[in-house]
Amino acid sequence: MLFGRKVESDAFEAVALPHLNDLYRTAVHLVRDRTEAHDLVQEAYLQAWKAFHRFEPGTNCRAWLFKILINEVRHYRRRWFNSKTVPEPEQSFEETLAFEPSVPEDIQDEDVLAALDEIPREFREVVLLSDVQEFSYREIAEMLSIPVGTVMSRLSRGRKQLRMKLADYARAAGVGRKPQEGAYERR
Amino acid sequence: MNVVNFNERACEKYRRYFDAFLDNELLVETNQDVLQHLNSCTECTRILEGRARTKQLVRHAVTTEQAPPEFVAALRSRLRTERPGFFASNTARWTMAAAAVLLLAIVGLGGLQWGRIGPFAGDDGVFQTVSARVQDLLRVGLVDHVHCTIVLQRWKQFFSFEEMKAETGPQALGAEFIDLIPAVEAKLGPDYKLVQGHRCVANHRQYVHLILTGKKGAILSLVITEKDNESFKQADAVAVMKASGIPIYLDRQGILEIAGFESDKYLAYIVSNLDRDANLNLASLMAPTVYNHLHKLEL
Repeated sequence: MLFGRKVESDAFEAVALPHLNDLYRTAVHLVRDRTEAHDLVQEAYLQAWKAFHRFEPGTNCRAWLFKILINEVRHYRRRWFNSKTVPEPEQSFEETLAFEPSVPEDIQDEDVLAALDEIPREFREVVLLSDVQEFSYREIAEMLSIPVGTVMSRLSRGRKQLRMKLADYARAAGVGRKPQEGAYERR
Repeated sequence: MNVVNFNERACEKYRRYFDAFLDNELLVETNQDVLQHLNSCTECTRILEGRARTKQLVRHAVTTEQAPPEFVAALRSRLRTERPGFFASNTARWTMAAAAVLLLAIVGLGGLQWGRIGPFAGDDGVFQTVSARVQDLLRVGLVDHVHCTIVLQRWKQFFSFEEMKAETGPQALGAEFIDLIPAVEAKLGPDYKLVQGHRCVANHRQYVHLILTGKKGAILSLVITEKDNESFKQADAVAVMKASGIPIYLDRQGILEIAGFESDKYLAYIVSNLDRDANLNLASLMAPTVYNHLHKLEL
């Protein structure tokens, strides 16, 4: 019995733990709080471990883990913000502009992260899943339980807002910018 | 002088495809159309390159971060203590937790030599006066005791004070709560042994949790959690007694006795398999010490 459990435990660690950094990074930027991200990722792994007997070998373990994480994040938001339904953010003035600014040449990672963390959560979610984790639109739609068209729309708007914010950061570079409200400290 | 671009509408059409083009999500035919347009439009090529670069910048910036090694170690250790396939979902987990309590109540815990089992819920007038809102508040403490102490059987896992003090992972009590251990031990004396103290999450709520055992199979938890717009006072709870001025509220679920009290920002509970008098006695002993500790954190 114990031996069987050890084999199963080894199998789970072998297929699930290689994705830990990806889940961790995503959680950090979804909730913008490292302590919460630790708890959410840990809870996602515990849920996955407990449901591992239902996981089919050969299927996409990474997408399965991300779906569990996304659900954990949703529970967390409902718990803390009591927001069961989140309306789609209205189109900002910047988004209506046809102008597309050049991407700054010497922008720092921390400016990119700060810009990312400033865009609305629904957009940030799809940008992280697509641009960083490179999931397909269909995989993202399944994870978030939304239509593929909504994934495309959120991605397009999220990227546009990000480009605008990066241009703002570049313009303000060296002018003694203050840390953004709500941003967390990097360790 | 402004340059008028007569192909602006065509450009606009193709630019709508750029995100899907970069993500390799276009149909082959549309992909070809975009490529053809790019061959003849330098402005669209500039824009597409900019979008590709933004994507790279985001990916690079986010992937520089790694999960801290102590978190990875704590997760591995946690996974090895959990039972696979036992709880398939949150619902199942809580059903099982409730079933565990019920089962323990039914079998009388003879095998585990639990002692001093008091009367069941509804046996006396105090319990019957507890409102549903107050019961819900008291169950906040019960949930963690059942999940962590009973179902995960952490009451069997002893850690020394030095080990708990040295712990740095997400379960560590940390500087805020580590001093509660000697304070509680001093208050309860040699009749109770502190098995472990840790931080944990149950039902998406964070807890500070001290587990103790006593004579005749007594198992008890001191459970502390931050308030989430909750209060015994707001729930119009009727305190059963006051310990050094701190109101204490009671409930019983199955064989488990729950005593709750509060500070400005925290809810605290003593949950045990003791009878009502014994549990209340422990709560009244610990409440002033715990309250003072929490009050200092709130300053």
